[in-house]
Amino acid sequence: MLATLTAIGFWESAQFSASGQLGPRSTLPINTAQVQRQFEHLNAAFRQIQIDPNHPKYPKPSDLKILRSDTIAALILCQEMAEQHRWGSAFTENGALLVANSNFIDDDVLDFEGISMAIGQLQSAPDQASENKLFGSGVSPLLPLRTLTNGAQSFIAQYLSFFGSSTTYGSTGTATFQALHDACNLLKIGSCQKALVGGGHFANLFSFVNNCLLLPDTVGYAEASATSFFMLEPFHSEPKEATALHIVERIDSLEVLSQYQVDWLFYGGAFTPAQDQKLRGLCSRLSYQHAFSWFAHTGNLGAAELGMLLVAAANWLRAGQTAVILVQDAYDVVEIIKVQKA
Amino acid sequence: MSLTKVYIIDTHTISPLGLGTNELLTALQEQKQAARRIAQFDPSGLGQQHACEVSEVHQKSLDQLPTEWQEVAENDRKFALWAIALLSQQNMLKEIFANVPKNRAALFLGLGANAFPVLRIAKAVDNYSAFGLNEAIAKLNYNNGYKANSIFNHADLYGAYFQQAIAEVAFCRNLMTACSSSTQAIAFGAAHVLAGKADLVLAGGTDSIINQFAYISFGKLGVLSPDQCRPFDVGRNGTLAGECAGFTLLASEAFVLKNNLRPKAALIGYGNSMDAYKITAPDPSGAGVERALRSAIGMAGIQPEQIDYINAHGTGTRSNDEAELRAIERVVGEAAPQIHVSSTKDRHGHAIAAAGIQEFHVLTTCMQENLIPANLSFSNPLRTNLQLPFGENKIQPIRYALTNNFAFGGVNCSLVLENLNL
Repeated sequence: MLATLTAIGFWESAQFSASGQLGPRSTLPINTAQVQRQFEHLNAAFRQIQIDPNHPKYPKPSDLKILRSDTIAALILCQEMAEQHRWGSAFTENGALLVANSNFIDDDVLDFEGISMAIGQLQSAPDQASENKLFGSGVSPLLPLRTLTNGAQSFIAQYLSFFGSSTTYGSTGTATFQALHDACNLLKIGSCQKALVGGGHFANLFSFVNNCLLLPDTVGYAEASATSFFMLEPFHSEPKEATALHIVERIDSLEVLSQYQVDWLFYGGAFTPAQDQKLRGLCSRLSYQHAFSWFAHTGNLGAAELGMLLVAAANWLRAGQTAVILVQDAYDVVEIIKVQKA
Repeated sequence: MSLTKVYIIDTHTISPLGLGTNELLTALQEQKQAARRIAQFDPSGLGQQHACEVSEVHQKSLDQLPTEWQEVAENDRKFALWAIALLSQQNMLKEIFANVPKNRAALFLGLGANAFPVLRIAKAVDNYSAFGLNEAIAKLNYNNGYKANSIFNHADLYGAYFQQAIAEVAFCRNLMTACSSSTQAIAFGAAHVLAGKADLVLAGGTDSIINQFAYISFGKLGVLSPDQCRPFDVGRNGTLAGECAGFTLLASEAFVLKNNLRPKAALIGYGNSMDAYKITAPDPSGAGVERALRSAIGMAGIQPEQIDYINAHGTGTRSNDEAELRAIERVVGEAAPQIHVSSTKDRHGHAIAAAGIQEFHVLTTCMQENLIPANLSFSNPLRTNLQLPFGENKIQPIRYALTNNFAFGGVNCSLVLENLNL
């Protein structure tokens, strides 16, 4: 056993946020909400977290100049979880905060019209010095801060008064697995007492429903925004939390998949039809009773994928039942863990 | 050999101070300062026109790359530097990774922001004007998956290339905490070894922000000096951008014994902390820095007064240096007059996410040569009880040394090294 998951929270789409219900639920509803956002000059839309600016945990106005939407969602969620669970100094002083991001750009950063105007001006510049000055006039000094890779980590630390060990993982859909495994390392060697792990994903301009403009041949592909965080502690056999899960092991080799018999399979990660085929092939090697993927309901959830699958596992497994969680990312990296309901 | 040590087998970088340990050592001994007017783009009209650049891009090495990677290298300076760092040590790396099974090997990388592909997006904006947004984006849609994803998820490129060029590994991490990225990559890589998950970890990173967009935006933040980086000087007026790619090989005791290696140094402690203060500025009290230092020294199991030399983060910015000095003073207490502190950023600049691996290589090189690098750019040093060597490098044994890196958002990381030759 690598660790025990003792708390989990998630936020996906307007349906959940509007209900005001964050965190584990006794029955996880299937999300069929058609929450879409329309881009003015595009015939395109995607699901997106809708954040109520009157939420009691909404960030301070002065921070909004820097915060991206994905970070706001993660920030509110972590504050809710901290208030509910009251982890104390075992987390804030001696804990770890490991945050994964699958992208660092939202459509506010991708200010195409602004950049276009600036580029248009650049073309009329008589020399390099003028061009640099014009370019400078079009670049906000806040841009490096808005695109700061560790923005979520830093804001969460600030709002939770967290002083412990913390880092940010940048990758595609398996970034949160990286964070989970490092959390297990830190717990094992005593570098921390509790580790809050999670990630956010923000569907953006490049990830329209049923298509991904960055990847060829993505028919059927969809993407959605979500954020999910979970608390890991050193393994203890009889945790009191109802949703507690044991992280049993990382499955290092695809060759041994056929040796595993589990109750549930939770999976995700296909982008193209070819990747989907590969993913299904991997899943078919396992022996399981039930299978679930968010893809059919929400689309790709990026760095939030692992947490969202753990939410399902924490809610649906009965005591002692086991599951494999398998995610294949855009680079065909496959991460697999086995979990067991406490 | 202690069971709690993580052994440092070799360290290698390409930086403004050269390629590899020999060139780095010569540059340190000759007091080379790499600052010069930017050559990678024309900085005319900008308030900041100097940087520390890698002067020789080793095009012959890049020409060896497969075509798809050559295109990535042409578009991404960070990748070009990373490829050179690996290719220049390819045989050694292949040989050592051949001694460890895939499931006992790992890669921990500290990488720069992937938001700067905005630059690449900007290149398509002409198309936006002409054809509208859909077409402009479509023109960024490459047929090759690696390149397509490099726009947003470029972090995965570096590990993917390593696994193609050197060896497959079971664990691959991309840590992205701005200026502390590669320092944290080394710390978390060490934790991976200590947790018994791997026998060999390649930890390091790559970064370069020497481009028009970054210079303009960082210039507006007021963190860049118009001429020279002057760490710990009263008149310091900002840092200078550098660029670097490199790695260190961290190994378990079992790997060292099995392969009959004779490591010259070990990583014996690390400390990570958060300021939890402001995303835009470090805590001026240095409390977060102090926590990272105490944590690293505590893990190392030594007393603060045993540290001979600290390679400071020392950015030359007004906000960093004072807070860092005061934090060090509080941690070492009365031993301050015996402890040497310098920042070598006045020589190689600030490599941002790669600052950690740049300065780790400086430190391991100096430890082997008993060389304490001087601060080179003082006119009026900050008041302190610590030893701030100035002008001439000192020749003195370094048994224990410490290196610091801190990042935007208040991320602090310190590493403690032991010289095994003393």
